[in-house]
Amino acid sequence: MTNPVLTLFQKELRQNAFIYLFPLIIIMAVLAFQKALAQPLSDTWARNLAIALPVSLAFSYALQAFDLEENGQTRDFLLTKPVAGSQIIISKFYSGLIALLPLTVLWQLALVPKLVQWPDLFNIASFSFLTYLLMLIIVYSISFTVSAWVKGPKKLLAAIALSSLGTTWFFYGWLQFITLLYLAPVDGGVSFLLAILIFTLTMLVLVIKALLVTIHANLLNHSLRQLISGIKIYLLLLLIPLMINSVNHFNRPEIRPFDSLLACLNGSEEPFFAVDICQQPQGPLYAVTDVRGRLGIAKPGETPTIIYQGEKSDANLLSKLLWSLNGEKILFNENGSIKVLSLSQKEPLVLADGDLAFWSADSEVLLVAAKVTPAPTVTYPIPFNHYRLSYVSAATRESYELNGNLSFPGSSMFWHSSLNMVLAVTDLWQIALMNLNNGKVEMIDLPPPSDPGPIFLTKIAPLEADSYRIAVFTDLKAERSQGNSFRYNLLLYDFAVSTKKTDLKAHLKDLKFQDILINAAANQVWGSNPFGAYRRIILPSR
Amino acid sequence: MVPAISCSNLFKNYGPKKVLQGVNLEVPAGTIFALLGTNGAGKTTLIRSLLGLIPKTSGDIKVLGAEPYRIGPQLRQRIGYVSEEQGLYGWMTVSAMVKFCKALYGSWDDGLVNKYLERSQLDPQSKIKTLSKGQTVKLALILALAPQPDLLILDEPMNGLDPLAQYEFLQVVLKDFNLEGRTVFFSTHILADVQSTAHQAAILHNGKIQKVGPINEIRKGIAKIKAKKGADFSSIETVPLNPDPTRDFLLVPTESLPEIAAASEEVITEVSLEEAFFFYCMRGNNHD
Repeated sequence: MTNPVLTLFQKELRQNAFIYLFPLIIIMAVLAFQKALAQPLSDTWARNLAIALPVSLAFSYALQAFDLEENGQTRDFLLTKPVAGSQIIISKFYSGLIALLPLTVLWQLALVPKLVQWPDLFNIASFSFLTYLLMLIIVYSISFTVSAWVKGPKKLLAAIALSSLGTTWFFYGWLQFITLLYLAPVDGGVSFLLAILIFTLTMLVLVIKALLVTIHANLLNHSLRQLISGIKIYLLLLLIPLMINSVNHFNRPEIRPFDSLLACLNGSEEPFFAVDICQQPQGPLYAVTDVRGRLGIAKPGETPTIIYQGEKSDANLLSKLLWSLNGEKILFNENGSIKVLSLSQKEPLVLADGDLAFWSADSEVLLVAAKVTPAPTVTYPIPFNHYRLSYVSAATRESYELNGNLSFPGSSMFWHSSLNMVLAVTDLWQIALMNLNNGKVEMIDLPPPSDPGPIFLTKIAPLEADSYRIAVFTDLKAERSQGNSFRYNLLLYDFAVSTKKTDLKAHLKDLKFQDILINAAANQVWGSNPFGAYRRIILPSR
Repeated sequence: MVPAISCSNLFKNYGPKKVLQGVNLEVPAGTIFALLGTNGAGKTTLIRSLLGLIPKTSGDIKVLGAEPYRIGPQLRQRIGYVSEEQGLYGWMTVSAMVKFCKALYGSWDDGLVNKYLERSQLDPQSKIKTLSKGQTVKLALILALAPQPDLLILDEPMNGLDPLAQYEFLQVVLKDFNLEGRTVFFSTHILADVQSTAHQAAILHNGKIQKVGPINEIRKGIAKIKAKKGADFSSIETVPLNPDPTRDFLLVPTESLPEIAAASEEVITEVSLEEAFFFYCMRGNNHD
């Protein structure tokens, strides 16, 4: 005895051979006409046909699945053979599906070859093609179920109505799930794709299984009570889109990359994948930049509104955001130029060339630091950064350059304008307090953890008039399994300039956030996922 | 011994139409059992209910000890079935059909298949749709017999068979099959089929079993009398064999003979199965 499903499957393919292969003949005829005709189908018509014909094939294959058995009066013969009803259904279901998918690809290759794309979720055309195939499978599955339950011509209407509902339901849930991934604090790369793949396949398998269970109940003449009892566990599937929607609605990140994924896919909304963020002092707004070097502002829980497009449409580098203390202007570095944009203006003002800039307390003057590479005079065991400092008037762009360079073994600093001091965090677990009036430098130790790893990044952000939040990022490790994902540890210190005291607020380990806003509020930090969705990180109590 | 088929209080409605109205039936294992009934009596409905092909309205059914709607592939290996329409795939050849069925069964008697294919002069390469009705019936019967099922259910198997084939099937094939202790349950409205073949029979009429038992007992249960003029038989069940009951014979239950002996001119206790069948069907009509 061979595998009954295989036997039935072969029978189905042979029984439906003409129905399955007839479209192939049509495809060949279409190709011949396309070649022979002086004026072949227009692109629009070819595209419409390439999309519509496989859908009609899906309806056709699915709706006739049981007709041949009914019309040929072979139903009872088949049902009394020693095979499970589910095996009969599966063989019918998959024989049609296996004929449908290659024919769909052939149709599209014949009419609009560029519609057919190799699977690649980062390529929108490929994504659309896969989505289309997914839709076909759902239309086919639902119509197949309808064909078992509804007889006569009205089954086409039922199939169209239920397929529309089912497809809407499935893709609504699907988009909600992808939105959940976009907004969740998870890794990007392989895990993102894997999650989509697992969710899609799981949903698809469960939906098909639920539909086949209903057909099985029909085939075995189950009562309505038996039918409901058989599928009640699958009825929960109906709630999944709503459940994910609720999670997305009630668990909104502080900054969202988009409002509607569907709108992004159809082009009516452009996503904003934030990479850098700065909070408005005493205000509700965030200034954010994205991967395309655009500047936006966002209210908590909302998507950013673009206020500056960037000077280059491609490879624009926009960083080092800093709000003026009055919360009216945003300072940033664009491709090596320090610029300031007032919220009431459309275009930024170019102030100077440089890397970093800091506001004075009255928001009138800036300290601009430009990185320089002086001729090496002394060799240090660790690399030093050297900066040339200038005072620049925010109103007139008048500048005054300070003598000498500021040098320290680190990359982050901040201008404490009221005392005209620069705070710099070194990679040697120290804070350097450099008085720009008299050139005096004072070193304050940052208490390192018991097992300090190498520092790879530091950040300084103002908390209140006299104090700063200092972030020290250590122990950077690349995730082996995931291409461009990293793990690191973070130490957060609060530092008061007047008392020169440091206080370790938190030691967070194995973080995977792409960016961290360290002074979201006095006791909060925000971390972002690869898509620029910022969420609050709960600081462990100490 | 577990009966091959049992059903109690079986009801089946098609909308407002009541097709089976409380069928009670037990088919002992190892017997050849005939289900007799006129056209539209509900024979096919009963058989399809037994096989779980249609849902029952109410009642209990057991086939080989199992509820038909829960019969799995294992049990289906033990049940052979040929429907009135046979339902074979017309696009297949005879040999492809044999191969298809063989692939689905755990046991398959190739010798039996070859023997009967040859005897029926069925060309293995012929498409089934080109076969005559009789040839199709023969092929369907061969396919049902080949897995050597414990229970063979046949719905009007003799329809389409020529007299010779009918004789061969009833007297040779079925009896051979039954000699191995297997059960045959078949429906028919051709009573000649039954008399020489079946051990037991049930008469189904108007959705109810009117009589069930060994063929001889069914016959012996009815007597034919010629009534005296002016005799009154209102106290017993009678079925006239002619439209005018005063001129001809009446069919009566044998147990009522002592009661009506004085009013009978002539009593014939040996009635044919057709006459007994006629009595139960007509009585059924009167009752309903």
